[in-house]
Amino acid sequence: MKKITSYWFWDDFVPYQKLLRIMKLTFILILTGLVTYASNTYSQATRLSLKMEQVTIQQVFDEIENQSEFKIAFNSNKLDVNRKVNVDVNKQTVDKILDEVLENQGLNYEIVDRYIVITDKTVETGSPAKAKQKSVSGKVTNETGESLPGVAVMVKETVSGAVTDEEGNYSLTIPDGGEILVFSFVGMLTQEIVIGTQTTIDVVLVEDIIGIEEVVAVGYATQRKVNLTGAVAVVDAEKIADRPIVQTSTALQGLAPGVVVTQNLGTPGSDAATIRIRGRGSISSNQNPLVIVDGIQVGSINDVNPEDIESISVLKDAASAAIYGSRAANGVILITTKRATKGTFSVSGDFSAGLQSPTMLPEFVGLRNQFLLEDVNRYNRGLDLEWNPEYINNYVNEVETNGTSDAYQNNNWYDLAVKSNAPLHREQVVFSGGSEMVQARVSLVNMDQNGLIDNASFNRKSIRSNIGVTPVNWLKFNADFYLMRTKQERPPKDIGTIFHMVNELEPYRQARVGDGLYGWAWKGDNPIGFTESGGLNTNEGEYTLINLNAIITPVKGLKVELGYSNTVDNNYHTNFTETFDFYAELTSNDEPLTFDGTTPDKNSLRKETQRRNQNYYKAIATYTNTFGEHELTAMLGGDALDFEYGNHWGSRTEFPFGINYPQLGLGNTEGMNNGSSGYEWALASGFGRINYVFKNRYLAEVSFRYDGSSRFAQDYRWGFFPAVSLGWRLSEEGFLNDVEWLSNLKLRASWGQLGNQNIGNYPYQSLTDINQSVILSEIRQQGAAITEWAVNDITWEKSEQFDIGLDFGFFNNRLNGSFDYYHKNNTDILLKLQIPQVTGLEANYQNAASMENKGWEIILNWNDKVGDFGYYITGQLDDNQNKVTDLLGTGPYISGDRIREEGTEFDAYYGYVAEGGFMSAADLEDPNVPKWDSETIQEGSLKLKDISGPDGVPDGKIDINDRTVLGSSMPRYNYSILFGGDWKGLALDVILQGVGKRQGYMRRTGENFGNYLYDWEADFYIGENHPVLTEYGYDAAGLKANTTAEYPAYGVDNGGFSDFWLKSRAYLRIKNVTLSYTLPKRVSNQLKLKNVRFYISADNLYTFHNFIQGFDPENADGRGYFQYPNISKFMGGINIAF
Amino acid sequence: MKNKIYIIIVLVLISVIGCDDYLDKQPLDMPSSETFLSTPAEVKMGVNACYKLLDNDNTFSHRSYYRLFVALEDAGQIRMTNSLSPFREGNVNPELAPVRNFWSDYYSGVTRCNIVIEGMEKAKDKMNESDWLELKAEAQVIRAWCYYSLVVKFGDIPFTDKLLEMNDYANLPRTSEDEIYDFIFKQMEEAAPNLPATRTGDDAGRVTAGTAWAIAAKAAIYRAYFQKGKAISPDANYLNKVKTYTGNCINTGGHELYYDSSNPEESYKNLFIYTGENCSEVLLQKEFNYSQNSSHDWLRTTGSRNYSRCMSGTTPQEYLIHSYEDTLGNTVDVSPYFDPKNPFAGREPRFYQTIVWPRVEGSEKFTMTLTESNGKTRELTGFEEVYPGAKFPEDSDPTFIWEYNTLLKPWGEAEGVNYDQVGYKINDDGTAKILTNQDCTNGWSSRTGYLTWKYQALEDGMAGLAANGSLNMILLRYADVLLMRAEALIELNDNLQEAVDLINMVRARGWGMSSAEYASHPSAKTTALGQDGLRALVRRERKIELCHEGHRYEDLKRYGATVKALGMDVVGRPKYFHKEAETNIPQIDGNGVVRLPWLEGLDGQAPDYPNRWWMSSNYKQHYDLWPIPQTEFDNGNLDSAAQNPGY
Repeated sequence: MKKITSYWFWDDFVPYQKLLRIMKLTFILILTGLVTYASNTYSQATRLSLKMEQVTIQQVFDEIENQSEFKIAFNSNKLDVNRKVNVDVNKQTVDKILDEVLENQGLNYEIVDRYIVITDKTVETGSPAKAKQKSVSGKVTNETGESLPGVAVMVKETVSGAVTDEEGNYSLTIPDGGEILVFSFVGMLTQEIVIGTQTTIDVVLVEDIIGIEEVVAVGYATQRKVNLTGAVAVVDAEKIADRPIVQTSTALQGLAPGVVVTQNLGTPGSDAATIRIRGRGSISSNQNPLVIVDGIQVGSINDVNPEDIESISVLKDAASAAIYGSRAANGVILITTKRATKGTFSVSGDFSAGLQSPTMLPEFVGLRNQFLLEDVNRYNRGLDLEWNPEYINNYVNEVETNGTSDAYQNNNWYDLAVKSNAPLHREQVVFSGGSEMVQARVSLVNMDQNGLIDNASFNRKSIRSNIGVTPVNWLKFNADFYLMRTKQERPPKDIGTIFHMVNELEPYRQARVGDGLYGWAWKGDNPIGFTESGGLNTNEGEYTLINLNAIITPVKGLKVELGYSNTVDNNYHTNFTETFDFYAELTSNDEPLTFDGTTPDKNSLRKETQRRNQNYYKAIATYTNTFGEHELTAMLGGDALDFEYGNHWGSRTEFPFGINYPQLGLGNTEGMNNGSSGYEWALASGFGRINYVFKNRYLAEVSFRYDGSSRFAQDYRWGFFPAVSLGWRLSEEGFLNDVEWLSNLKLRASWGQLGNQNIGNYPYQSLTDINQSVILSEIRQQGAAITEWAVNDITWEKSEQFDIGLDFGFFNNRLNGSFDYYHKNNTDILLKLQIPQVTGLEANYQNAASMENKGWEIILNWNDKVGDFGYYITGQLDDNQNKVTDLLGTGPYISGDRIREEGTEFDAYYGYVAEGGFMSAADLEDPNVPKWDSETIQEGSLKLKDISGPDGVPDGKIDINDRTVLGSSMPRYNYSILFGGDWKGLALDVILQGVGKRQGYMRRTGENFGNYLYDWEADFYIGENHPVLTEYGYDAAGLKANTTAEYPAYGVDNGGFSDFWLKSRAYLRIKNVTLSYTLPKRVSNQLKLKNVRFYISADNLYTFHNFIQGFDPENADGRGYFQYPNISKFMGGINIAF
Repeated sequence: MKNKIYIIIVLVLISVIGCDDYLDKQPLDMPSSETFLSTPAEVKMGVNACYKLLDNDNTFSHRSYYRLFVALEDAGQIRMTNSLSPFREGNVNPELAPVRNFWSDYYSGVTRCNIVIEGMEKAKDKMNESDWLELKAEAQVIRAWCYYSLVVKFGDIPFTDKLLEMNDYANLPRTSEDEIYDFIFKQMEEAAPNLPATRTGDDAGRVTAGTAWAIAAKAAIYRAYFQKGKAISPDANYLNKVKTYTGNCINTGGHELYYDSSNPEESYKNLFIYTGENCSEVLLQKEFNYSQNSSHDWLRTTGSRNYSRCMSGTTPQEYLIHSYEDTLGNTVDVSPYFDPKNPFAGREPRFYQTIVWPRVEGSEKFTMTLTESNGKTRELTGFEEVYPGAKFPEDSDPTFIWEYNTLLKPWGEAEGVNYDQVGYKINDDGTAKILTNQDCTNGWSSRTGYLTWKYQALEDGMAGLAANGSLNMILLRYADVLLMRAEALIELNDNLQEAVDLINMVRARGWGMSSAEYASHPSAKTTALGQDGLRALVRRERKIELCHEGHRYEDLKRYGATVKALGMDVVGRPKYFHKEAETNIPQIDGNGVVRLPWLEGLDGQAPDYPNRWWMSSNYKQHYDLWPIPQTEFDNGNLDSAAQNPGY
């Protein structure tokens, strides 16, 4: 009678249980979730040739082990390993060989991937051992308590072994000298346990994070990680699963070396994160990596729901990315979504909610200091003082004694317009199940993120349905559907401007007057009005993806994939700007409130519809075979992609019924406007790859892509992108076989060429400018003209990259890692070169510039389990150095504080070098101190260094010739530390992420007088006896008067941008902390639940930095003060699986 | 089965890679260069866009290069940054921005016309032939104008009448100026017959046959006097071309001098403002219309400081004042009316229609007490009527003016307006409100003490549209054609009577008289002056009639008088009555160049310099050919040895 197992809801599958469980585990463990063609069929794919006469069985086994990765163990007394046999097989699978060798021996054998265990035919595996010898039995389970069948249990340094049964039980006899048991299982960390006096040894196997069997997604296929020859970073989905991630772009941060993610804003629905893989390789073109989700190019990494991600592979070097040819120069991110596996059925729900708050906010100087410093600034700039002591004292006393009132206000505009906490919640339900023939995973996700200001929010709802159908064993269909609905709301007033105002407005400006009316603020620009009553800007997105694939296996070893996909992304934009009333500034509370006007003058509505449509076709054939010690995989494919964009819009003003009726027809026809535009592009390609493995240790890969792009003229349309890579698994060599502590050592080298076709849609054509209308006969008559020079031979930007890498694993891979060094040359970078003006046309982009990126990446990982406590720690560090190598003799191009010139880092900071300040009048009069030609230079101004002159030598004058390269604007030494541990269901995961070296421009420098003063600005040098302070009878000490002149005098002329204002933006951030607890199996089982997990998680918990107080060093360069701040998130949730 | 699959795979791969049509993507929202100009509508639009580059002065707020050339006249000066002042300062070099912009803007015009003329062949079969020819002729005329503008400034220049490959542009050599002139002549001879004599309705602003002939004449007269950077004795061959082309222009009958029928005496003045806008005297103009989102800021740069935001930047020089004859037709040096104490009296009418001069005399002097907002009172003395840049004589105090209910008054002259009807603004105490006279007090008021009437659309100033003027900028007009013909006839000594008649025609309009009426006027000229006298007359006549219109610089070049005329200090009106002025009368030479004897020997801004001094001038002879912009050597393969001499 069959034992009724705990798998109560899939009893029907019991006959297949063992197989199913193995497969299920495999699916959980391998990171791609795709069919692991190569690994599952190792025993079938591995063919051996043996020709041996009169050798012992032991010798045969040794030879098998030598020729392959198989390990052979016995749990049998019958086997006489010294018996002489003859073997003569040619390219046979191992089962055929064993059949021959073990013929008529009454022996049985079992192959579990690379483990072969020989047992007695008559004796049940795991039956009690003979009494004479010591025996051990036990049960092997995984971390969640599920029993593991098929685990190889070997007695170390002997040939004794066993395999666990369906229930995970094993039993074996220990031969003399046997002291240690070795438990091995595909995808799990091998464990060794000293037997000692124990007779029962239960073992929990831990997943091998960088397991030997790990399969990673590479271009158009998956590959065993051990056979990888390119630089591919893999991000484990579990690392992002519990984090409160709202935008997939941020999910990558700190998780892959060489991938630098900078989160610029915290705006709901658009955090503007930039992803740079191995530096910058272009000047004017798009530098974003190519993002491929399940084989389909997507416009943005945010077009996939973070919850649906199974794994992320980042193809960093040319060898791994060249298969994507002209789109791969900025690197490739491959995302695989989760799929159902055969034989499972589960319903799970994940519900979480939390709060967001700004990571940091600046402090202000306070009312009295605000007044004073404003006048100090005016005085320093030679302007009339605006305030007087009586006024200030009167005002401040009024506020301090009677509190604020309409006329006497003391506002922190941040507090008024920005909420300290904004809610966030997400709900996810996943149905996943599959039979032999059909597997389906359907996920429903809802995510709601509120903003820190009124009328700002983001909502995303999505359904993903990934279905696999296998009607016959040589055919499989995948049909995936993804529907995503997004809705982003924000005030029509630019969100950056609102934050700018919130920062800029002085505390005494009137925010609200009377009974909740809007005060004058600044000419009616009242940020509270803008957020509360300024209308609504809504962007609704409808994203629909269909991805159909057929996988045909007509003969063994050959796989043919045919696919079609269509993506439609529609956006509906409604921007209704509403007016609000504001009231005149009050100078005393006796004044009546007077209506001053409305902001803006009239309300308006703009509606826009955008449509993006992408078709994708592919056909790929892959052939895999093994010839003796040669393993070969060859792939040949072709694909084609076409993309079309179109939009139309209309706008009107003066809507009598206001925002409640946001229909264009209701507005005034006068001044109404409308328009539309569109573009399309296409790409057609052929590609191929050959992977060759010799003796499991010598690896070679050659790939190419032949790309045709509509973006180039017919004669320049096609490009060829080759790549070669080699690998050497030193650890498999005989001379390293005996090194116990070395589990993996592989040397890799690669070279390849890539392209960047993100250069606009029609660069080779000159577009007709239809805005060339002209007044003729006093009326505007339509005109059209060609105004740009068409560069007919324009072609892709090219990137050539060399990479050398080392992968290593020690102590059973408990310590593992890799190191990569790369050298990347980008050439043919588009640059607008000056052309002779006789052409009479505007210059256009030409393939002209070159750039170089050199860098290295290192990742180190330690994981182990001590009893019930498992833990890991991972450290990552990378660096990239960029240099513009060629601008075809043009340049330097100086734009503000940045420079682009040959031999210098791209967009390096450029300006003067400050050296102290003019501390006294004597300094100013000293003819030896170089000065710039200005009357506003004065005591308290910065001194600048005389570096050069018009003749290339210092000339005693400060002018533009004295500017120099000041430093890098790129993040250097990006690092992260990930660590965590789990104990009896309790788990903690921490991600620390940081940038070791980066500079930022303190744009609010005090040189340009603003109306708003931050606390740190009170530190400006103003002098103890500053005339203003004296006049105001002010106690200088109270204002932190600073005669050591840490800062220049407030408001004086400092001669322009100098390195004084460059500050370190290095930081270390507690990016994420997640604490979770999984109910013990028995408890959840009693609740009739499969799994119950509680978790709390925090993002951007704390930041260590030395940048300006109150400003997030990660925010876009120096612009923090007028942007939506970065946010911290705190969430708690529960995950229930049925 | 297997084979079938292989075949399918191969077919799919081949179809994907092989199908190049798949990759032919054209822009969806505008025609690409590949298809442009293949329909009649596109041809029309293409030609329209050529008009946009007739005079594409992007540097100067879309005004006109031909207004910018005031800086290179002995009649006016511009006080603006980025102008042509380096020509005065003596540091013209190939990097000079206005020169570079002038070059690139007119080459943009050439290229645009080249593309249209070449590309419109695609639409030839789809259009009525005469329409097609007419549109082509328009593009030819605009291209000829662009080449004319370039050749007279730069001499030998790169030439193409087609769109070339980049390499060919980079290697385009300088073509000799004679070939360029020949091209202009041939093109205009080809184009003129395809163009109508007059334009009406929506075509009113388009070029006519007359325009084509006038451009040809303009090129011919310049070439007749000026070759390879030097003034030469007039070449009869080209003078005959002038005669032919001007004759052809006149014979089209499509153009005539403008008369304001309701106010003939103001005809000349009104020609340049809205009253006379788009009259048939105009041969070529750049159009503006604020209501159609196209405007310029000419009034803002030139207008009286009393208009908000106006900057009095472009103003007449003292030399222009003394170029005008008196009412009897005498030049200043011989005029019985010339009175140094009142140098503005008794001049021919075009003086008063061109120059806004300072006047206080004759207006009633008064004193009033002003109470300022701080409670303090101030005694004010002033004149009821104050004119721009007043304070003449220096002891007057016209620092304030009445604030009228309209802005008419501050400008000064506003004849025909009844001030009592307009009314003053009245203070609470019944006194009239007053304003500071910015023309007098503002540090940036007119540097010369004069303002110009030309292109002064005062209604724009009143409407607050000083920076958004709609007034069309005339580039070429019929009076120029008449004077060119007269000049050619005089030089050829061909038909002096006709020459005199032509000159008198132009002079008559200044008086607001018909030619017949004017014939008996004392100032009317006769052949009695002889060839030399008439030569001097026509040269002076061109200076006066066409001043501030951008032609005087070219005239000075061909008369070989640039160094003399433009080398003189830039000066305005006398600061005080200069004693010597009473005895030293201004002199005028045969090229219309005025000499102020009392300035001689004084160098620059001496403290007692008798005239308002602006800048000393260091115009050099080699400036007569402008430098080829440095960009052409840097970005193209033009041999730097091919730079014009002197740079």
